[in-house]
Amino acid sequence: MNALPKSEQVDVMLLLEGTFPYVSGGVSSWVNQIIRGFPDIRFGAVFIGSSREDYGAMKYELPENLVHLETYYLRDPRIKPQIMAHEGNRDAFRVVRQLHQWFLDPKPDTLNDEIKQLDFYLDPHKGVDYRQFLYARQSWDVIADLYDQRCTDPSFVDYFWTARNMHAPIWLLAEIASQLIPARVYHTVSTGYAGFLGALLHYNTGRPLILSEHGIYTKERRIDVIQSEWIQDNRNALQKDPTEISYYRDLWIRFFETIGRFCYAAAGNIISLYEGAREREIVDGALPERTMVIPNGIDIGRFAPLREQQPDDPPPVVALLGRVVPIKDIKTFIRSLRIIANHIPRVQGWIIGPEDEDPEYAEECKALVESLAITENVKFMGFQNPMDIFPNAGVLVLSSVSEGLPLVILEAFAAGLPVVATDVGACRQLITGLGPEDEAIGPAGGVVAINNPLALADELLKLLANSHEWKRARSSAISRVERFYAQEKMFASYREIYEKGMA
Amino acid sequence: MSGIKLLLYGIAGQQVALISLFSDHGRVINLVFFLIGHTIATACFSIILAYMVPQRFGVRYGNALAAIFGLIFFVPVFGALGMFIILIYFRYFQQFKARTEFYSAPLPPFMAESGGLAPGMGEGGAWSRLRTASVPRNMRLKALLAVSAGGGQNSSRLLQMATGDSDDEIRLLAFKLADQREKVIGATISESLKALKSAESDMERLGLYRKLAFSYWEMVFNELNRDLSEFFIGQSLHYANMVLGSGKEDHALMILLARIYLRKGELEQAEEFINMGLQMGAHRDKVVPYLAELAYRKRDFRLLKGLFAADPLLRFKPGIGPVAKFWMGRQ
Repeated sequence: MNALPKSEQVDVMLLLEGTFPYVSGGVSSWVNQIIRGFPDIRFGAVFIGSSREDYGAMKYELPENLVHLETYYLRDPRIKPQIMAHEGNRDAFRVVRQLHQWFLDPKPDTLNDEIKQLDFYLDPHKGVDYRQFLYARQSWDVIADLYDQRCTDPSFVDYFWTARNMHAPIWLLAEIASQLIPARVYHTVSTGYAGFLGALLHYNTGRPLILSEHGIYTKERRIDVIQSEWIQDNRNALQKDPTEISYYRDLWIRFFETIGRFCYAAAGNIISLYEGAREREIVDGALPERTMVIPNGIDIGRFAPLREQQPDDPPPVVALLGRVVPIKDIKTFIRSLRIIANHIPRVQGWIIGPEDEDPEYAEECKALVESLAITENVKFMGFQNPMDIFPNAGVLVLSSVSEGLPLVILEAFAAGLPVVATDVGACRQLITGLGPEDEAIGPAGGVVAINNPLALADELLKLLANSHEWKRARSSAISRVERFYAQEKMFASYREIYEKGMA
Repeated sequence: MSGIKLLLYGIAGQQVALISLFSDHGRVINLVFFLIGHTIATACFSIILAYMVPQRFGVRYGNALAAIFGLIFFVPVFGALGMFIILIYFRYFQQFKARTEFYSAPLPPFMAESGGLAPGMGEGGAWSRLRTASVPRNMRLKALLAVSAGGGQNSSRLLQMATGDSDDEIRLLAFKLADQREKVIGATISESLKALKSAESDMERLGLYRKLAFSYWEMVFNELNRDLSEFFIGQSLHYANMVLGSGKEDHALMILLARIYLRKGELEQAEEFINMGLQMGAHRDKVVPYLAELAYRKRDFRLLKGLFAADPLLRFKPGIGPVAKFWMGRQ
């Protein structure tokens, strides 16, 4: 903790949940890029993680203009206030009840003003502090009443502890907000807990909040929650309907949706990477007039020299750059390699990315390679510098099931490497173009449906086995990235927003 | 009143009616006595006979009584005798076996293996909702969960199709559900391959080859990763042949080989392995579907009909019922 930079005040305070500087990946790279792109701005950052043991050392060297960094872990044990029987603040709990009523019909801009104030969470006379949340009779009554009125799961014990675990981080976030050094602008890169913190900071300091969403946090949480195994479902066989999401899953989903709306309501600028994401934000509660699209951009000059190092014909190497985690669907890539190997036996599939985020999944991927009898064709190379990989690869692959606007595609384009990606996020827009001017450049690779190894293999074979096609895709890739995705455009848009916010 | 008493009163009444017909008290009095005696006799006989109507006729007692009364009244003596004989015949000599309703027909062994319909929403209903983009997301998510609650080929196919959905959330959930399904078999394959490396005896190795043959086939059978089905078939065949080479008699493995060859369209070999499996003790009922498929693909429709005819209850079964009706030529 002592090694973290500290300052008295910053221009922009970044609110980062599970990303830079402890996790590598697209969002982290983008944060790193933004900080370094504005050397004249003094940045601070609050890192919010789940548990301390989930994260290793920092994955990035901290930029010089990142002058303040604080880290918090929501699931780490906290010192709880001493247990003491007391009634609790009746008026404040009345507000809590009203709030739960509001959840049933959450219209934008109609949220109760009391809960926007930090005092509500920290001052027992003005609201519900942590002690009251944990021990007050009123707190018990609210939980018991809500269980009676709304819960369809038979277990009150599970309901009680779910309510506790779900809400406890809110008081930690309020504490963080109360102690945080001043900033002229708050900038969160997701909704969720970081977004909630941003909203509290905005309401209590009056400083603007910017939200840049790379993925859609609530959507991703919803999928996680539906599939998670740690959420209880105590309904018996006769009560269960397999088409119904269990009560606790639904409760968690609604919780994330609600704190997402809290953030949307507070953010003055809601920035997404592509139009589809912007539309989704509006559906989730963002006011359309506050939304805008700023696509990612990259430092093209850094990658351009790599073009000269590439051979005339495509090397039979397909590289996937990304964390070895389920969302990247590495397995589909491996399966497609099985099909390609039937046509090009010497094909090489390189999986380049850290394996420590989900070691179990990484093991599954390795086992799959073995069960498909392609151990000679697939290499797990761990984290590598893309600059060392691009000149030796024929095609870059992204088999992800969810993406925003992947920086790695832009980097590959800048290095003159065609890309075959799944049709998620802005991948289609990047590869085939958006609008007549962009589309006229031609495809810079191929786009396939997710979870479709055959289609992925077909597209890769088209490029690997056809030198002419490969060169054409290379040329389109370079033209597109140079014309539409230079980082200067992105920086200009953010500079305008930052300057307006800091004023 | 007991049946005997009723019978005696009936006979007495009928006697009175008969005697009154031949007495010389005058026409009107004779008629009155006849009607009284005959009516009493008819009522007694009707009550007895109405009780004798078999329940399976499903006739209400009152209606039966009225009908029998009418017949016996207007056909004196012979009406009652005739009705009695008819009812005795139906009651004691024409006993129909209880009809098998669809819900009480037992599952044939081969269906018991893969039986069970998706609860909640049927596959058809679920898919029709899933593929309609205008249906609200929540309803489509429900449909997706319903699809995933069922198992088998259709479910895998639908999940695979849903991974190409235009809605990000549907796509993601379908992907996760499909992945989970495959994970179980994938893990079994991985464990077996791992165990194979450290296997110390031939017996242990043979057991693992057998497990691998069946596990790879499970991928094919459940339509998991259809793009790789040729590879899975090849692997399954490879490991099954390894076991076969040991000379061990294994009827389940023979049937597996028959299924693999059926899938590959090599009918002669498929038939050979089915027969070997039967000789080694495979239950014929479990082999029937493969025999039927073989007969169909060899265009031996007579044999095919024979196979269906061997189990007449098949026509009551969902799924296979319409097929059985088609081939058995009756409803």
